Amino acid sequence: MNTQQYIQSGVLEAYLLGLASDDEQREVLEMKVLYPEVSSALNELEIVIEQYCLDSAVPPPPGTWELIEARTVGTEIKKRESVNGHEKTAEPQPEKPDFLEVAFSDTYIRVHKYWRIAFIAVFILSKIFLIAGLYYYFKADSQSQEIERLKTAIQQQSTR
Amino acid sequence: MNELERSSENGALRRQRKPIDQRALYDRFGAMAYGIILQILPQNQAHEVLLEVFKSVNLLSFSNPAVSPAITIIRMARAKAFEYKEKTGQAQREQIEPISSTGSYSPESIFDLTFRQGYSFEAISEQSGISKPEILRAIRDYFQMFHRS
Repeated sequence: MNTQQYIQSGVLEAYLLGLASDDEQREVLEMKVLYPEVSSALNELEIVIEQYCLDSAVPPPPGTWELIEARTVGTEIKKRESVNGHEKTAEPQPEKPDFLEVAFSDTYIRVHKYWRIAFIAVFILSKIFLIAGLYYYFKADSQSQEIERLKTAIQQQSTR
Repeated sequence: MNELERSSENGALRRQRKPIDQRALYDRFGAMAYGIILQILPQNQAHEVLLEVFKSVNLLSFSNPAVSPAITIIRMARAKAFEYKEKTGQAQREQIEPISSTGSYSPESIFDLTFRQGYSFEAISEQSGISKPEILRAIRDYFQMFHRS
């Protein structure tokens, strides 16, 4: 079979659509490397197939990306947990489902990690100001009492 | 965007060595993947499969330069849809149904049987009497017709 016959056999379409067998896939990859005609035919077909699939594209429901994002984060957390679990214990882990349930209609918000430092700083400053406020309040109070005491002392001295 | 621009953009995506941004892939191919899945599954199940496709960790290691990202998404969307179909037991029910009630096999119907309904070439060949090379040619003819239209 020459290259033109090979291109026209339809095996390239089957390969790109994921319908080809493992042997056919290997054969296509070999032919692609060996024959530039096959390579360029594959490139052209990629565009045709992409265009065909884009013609039947349907916009996903709104909020789909947020769900994907939430699930991806969930998977990463789960993976990290399982890696840490293997390091710490060699005990067999109970079988868990391949996905992590993520509640997406919750009331939580995600903020940048730098906000943590800002919150701590605001908390510490608020405590400092509170203590300073109390200190100056009691200081002013005691001073006013002292003034009152001195005033009465002066008045008593002047009446004598 | 014309075909040339699209193909060059595809090539640029393909040549990228670092992991491709999942969001960029979703924005570009999300609707396309959903359209493919909807050809295989009903809407309520298609959405779940779409989430699985883009959640898939394979997307993060999109470094297969053999095919464009669009083709990878097409393959993945179809494979995940059939995986889901199999998991829910729908595939088995359909296997016992006759492939074609009319007995006619146009390139479109053959493409439908293979790509959308997931029948193997062997199964189609067995039930329709069409040889595998003829099935492959029918798929090619179907895309030729699309390309010409």
